[in-house]
Amino acid sequence: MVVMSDDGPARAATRELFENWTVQMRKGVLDLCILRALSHMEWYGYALVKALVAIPGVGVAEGSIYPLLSRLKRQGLVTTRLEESREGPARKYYSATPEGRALAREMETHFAEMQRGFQGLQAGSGLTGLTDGGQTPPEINDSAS
Amino acid sequence: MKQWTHHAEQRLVEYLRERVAREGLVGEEAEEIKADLRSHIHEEAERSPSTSIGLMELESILGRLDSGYVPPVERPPVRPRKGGAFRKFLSWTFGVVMPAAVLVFESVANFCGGVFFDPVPTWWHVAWIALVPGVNAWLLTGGRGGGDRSRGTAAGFTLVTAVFYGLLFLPMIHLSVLALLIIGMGLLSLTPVFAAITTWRIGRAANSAAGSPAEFRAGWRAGVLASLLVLCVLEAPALWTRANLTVAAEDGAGAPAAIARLRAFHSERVLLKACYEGNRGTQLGTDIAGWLLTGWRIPAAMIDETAFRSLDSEKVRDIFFRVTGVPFNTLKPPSSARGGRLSGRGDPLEDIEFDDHLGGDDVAVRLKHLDLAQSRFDGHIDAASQTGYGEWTMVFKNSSGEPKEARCQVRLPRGGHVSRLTLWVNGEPQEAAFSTVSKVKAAYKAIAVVQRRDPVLVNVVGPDTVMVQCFPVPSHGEMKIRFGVTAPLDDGRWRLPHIIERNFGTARTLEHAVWLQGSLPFNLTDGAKTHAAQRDGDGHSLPVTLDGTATLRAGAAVVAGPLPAEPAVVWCEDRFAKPEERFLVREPVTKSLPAADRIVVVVDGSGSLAGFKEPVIRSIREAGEARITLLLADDHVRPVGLKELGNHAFTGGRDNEAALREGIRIARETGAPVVWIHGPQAVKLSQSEALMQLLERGTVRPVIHEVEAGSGPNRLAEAIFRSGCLRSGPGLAGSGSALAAFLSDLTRPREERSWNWKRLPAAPAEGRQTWDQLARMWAAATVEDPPAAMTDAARAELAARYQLVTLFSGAVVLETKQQYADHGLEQADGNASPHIPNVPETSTSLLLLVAAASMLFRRKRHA
Repeated sequence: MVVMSDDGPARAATRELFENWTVQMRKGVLDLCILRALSHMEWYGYALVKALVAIPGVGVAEGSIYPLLSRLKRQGLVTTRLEESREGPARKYYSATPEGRALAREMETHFAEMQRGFQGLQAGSGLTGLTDGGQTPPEINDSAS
Repeated sequence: MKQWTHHAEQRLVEYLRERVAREGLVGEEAEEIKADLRSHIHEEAERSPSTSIGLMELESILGRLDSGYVPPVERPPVRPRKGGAFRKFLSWTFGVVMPAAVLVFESVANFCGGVFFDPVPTWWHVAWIALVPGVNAWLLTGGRGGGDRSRGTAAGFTLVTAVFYGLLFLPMIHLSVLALLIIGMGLLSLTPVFAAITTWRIGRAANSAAGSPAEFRAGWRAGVLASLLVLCVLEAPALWTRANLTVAAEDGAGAPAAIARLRAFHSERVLLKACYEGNRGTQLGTDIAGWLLTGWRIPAAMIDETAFRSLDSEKVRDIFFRVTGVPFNTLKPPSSARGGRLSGRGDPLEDIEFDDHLGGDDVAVRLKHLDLAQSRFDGHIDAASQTGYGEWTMVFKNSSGEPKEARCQVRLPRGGHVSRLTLWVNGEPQEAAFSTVSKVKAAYKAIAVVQRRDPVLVNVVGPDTVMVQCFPVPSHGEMKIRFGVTAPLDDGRWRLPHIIERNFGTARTLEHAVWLQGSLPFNLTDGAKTHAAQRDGDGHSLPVTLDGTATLRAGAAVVAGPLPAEPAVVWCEDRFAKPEERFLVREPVTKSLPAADRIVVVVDGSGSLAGFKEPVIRSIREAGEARITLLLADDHVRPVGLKELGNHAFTGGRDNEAALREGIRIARETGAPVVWIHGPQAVKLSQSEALMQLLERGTVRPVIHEVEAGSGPNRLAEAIFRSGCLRSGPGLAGSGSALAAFLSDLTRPREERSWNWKRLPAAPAEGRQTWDQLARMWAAATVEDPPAAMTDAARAELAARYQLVTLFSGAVVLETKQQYADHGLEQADGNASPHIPNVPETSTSLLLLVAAASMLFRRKRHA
């Protein structure tokens, strides 16, 4: 006999929430990844795309990165140069402009602070001094739900 | 590098196009992304284990590359429908073969163009239509070398063309079907209708076969829009012109506005074609725009004949002038783009032409195959009598299969009269008979129009203007005529006669061979060029060959000089006078003329005056604006100041009748002279009787000085010059200084030279003998002197006796003596006709002196 469970729809909702969250997350992080990569060295487009899609959790199709690179180029953060190739179409190499590098540093700092704060949350020290009268925040009692 | 299959390459192109469209990218950005993706895909392909890249390999790469990728749906193969072969036959027949054949036939034969309307008036139309069979054939063979979008674009483009022509021929479908059933013809006019249906079916089939119907439809929409744009460019100006022309010709309240719209924008080709329509009583034989406005009435015309009400051709020609400022017959008559080489039906080299003005008083329509082929002018200037005589020989050539009448208006030297007329009949020169205008016209019409034999007629039609007409210029043959002109020198100048209106063209090789001679040195000025006469015996001569356009333009003139300030007393033996009056003496006298307090200046607002605006304004300012009443002839009459005159846009051809009437009315009230500054006036008068009444009645006869800005037909001057009120003023060429001096002179007392004539029974002791042209000058002055107490019949008789074409007399050459006798005419004696002296003529007295000296010398030797 099969026992029907009520937590099916709830799991689906949680899954959907997680999917949306990862999409938002990727959108934000992908610019950082590209600028970080291009700040340190010049990349051949194909190799850059392959490297980016290999980052765990980035999870975008290879073809989606080119529009992103094009946008960054239009914004003056990335520059390109073409190099003739005897094996096929000319190869396009990408690198970050000074503005792009500056932005990458700023984004990295910001991301690092976020990360620290995030880890602080886990350690329970991140919110010290933020609560009224130095009181410890009330514990969340899982069993109450 | 790996090999790609054709399908894979094509698929990649389609994918990239679809991908950027999906991303919403356009322009440079889209191209960049396409290049990036293409490069990426090529890298992937190079890394794949396959030796070559086919569709499957590519689809696999695309699947990895693009998360939103949907592979194309495989369409099930279309099963051939029943009767497919027959359908294919019909598609090829009516979509390709027949449209191409009909286009070629119509282009060569102008068959439809000569009867209903010209469906291919320009080469652009030919190219536009030729795309229909071309594209249909391409689509029927699979549209190789193009994608879905380009196939769609081609199908949409040609569908508009095919449907447009299908609709054009739809109104005559019943006639076509009847013709097909009864006489087996009619397929020509049915083809465009069938082609429209077939083109639509071919396009639909191509859409069904398209790999990407969305692409095909996008292309189809672009093609339709492009073809509509072509249609607008080709036909919208014509339609606009036709629509406004119809309103303008109806003479309703909207006519002036329609003419103003046409002045702003019009198609000259369409206006000119409309001038030549209506000769056959219908508007058929028109162009596409004309057909669009009238073709739909065809079914009604089978029941009601009045459904095809033609526009009045005369009115259309007036409108042409009002809009363009140019008389319609100064331009080459319209012809189909391809020349209509087979449309003569019987003769493969000519168009059918209707000349319903044969033997008439108007020059009217230009004939396509009639040309002035040769031209020769011989002139002699006599300094003593200050007169000139010239003979213009013209050879007309007719390259059509029908005999034609050549008609032209010729502007003579100022104060000139035709004094000789010759026609070559069977190679022999025949001299004219001079008689009353009615007699010579009746003889010409009887011989030319009824008997269709050889006459030539010259009569006066305007100030210093004669109409010359000769018939028949034989089919594929020539006709040679010559007329002589006697005219006084005008301030030392003798303007060469030129044609101002004609119904013929000029041969491409036409030259105007001019021979001039005179007793004193002289020059021939022709625009900026001056040709000086050379010493020739006792006199001077000048042979010069001018280009053919010299026969048509004003400006060439003989400038004699220097002449004595006071002309000498001269005399001649008058062979036409009674013995007791045999010797005619001319003495110069001066006449005092009073100053005018005011001057009425009427300025023609036509485009022909545009180039003379500044000189006219400057002349009026120099003469004193305060003394001048300025009227602008702008179809209506507008009293203006110099500032308004300066602001006026001189465009089109403006009717001067209203302004001139107002000018004459003011002149009658104030006694002021009228100075009428004008260009050609090719508009018929609307209220000629009212104008003539103003000129003929009352005790004050107004004086109108005309100042011509450009040579051309002038209906208004033709109407009023018989009243004797019209005087020739200065020319308007150059800076206009002559006009300024003329206007200033009118406002102060001045002296004018005149002549006193005396007759004696014997040669006078004093004065200088001169040629007998002097007698003709006397006769012309007497005949056209309004105060002279002579009846019209007496004037005509006097003019005829002196062999002069005047207001009261004309000249006609007939073929046989019997014809002269039948019409009560007496052919001029060839010996009495004026002639050009063989060499610069020594005076008769000098000849007598030489003869007497020779006799004396011989007697002395005998002694």
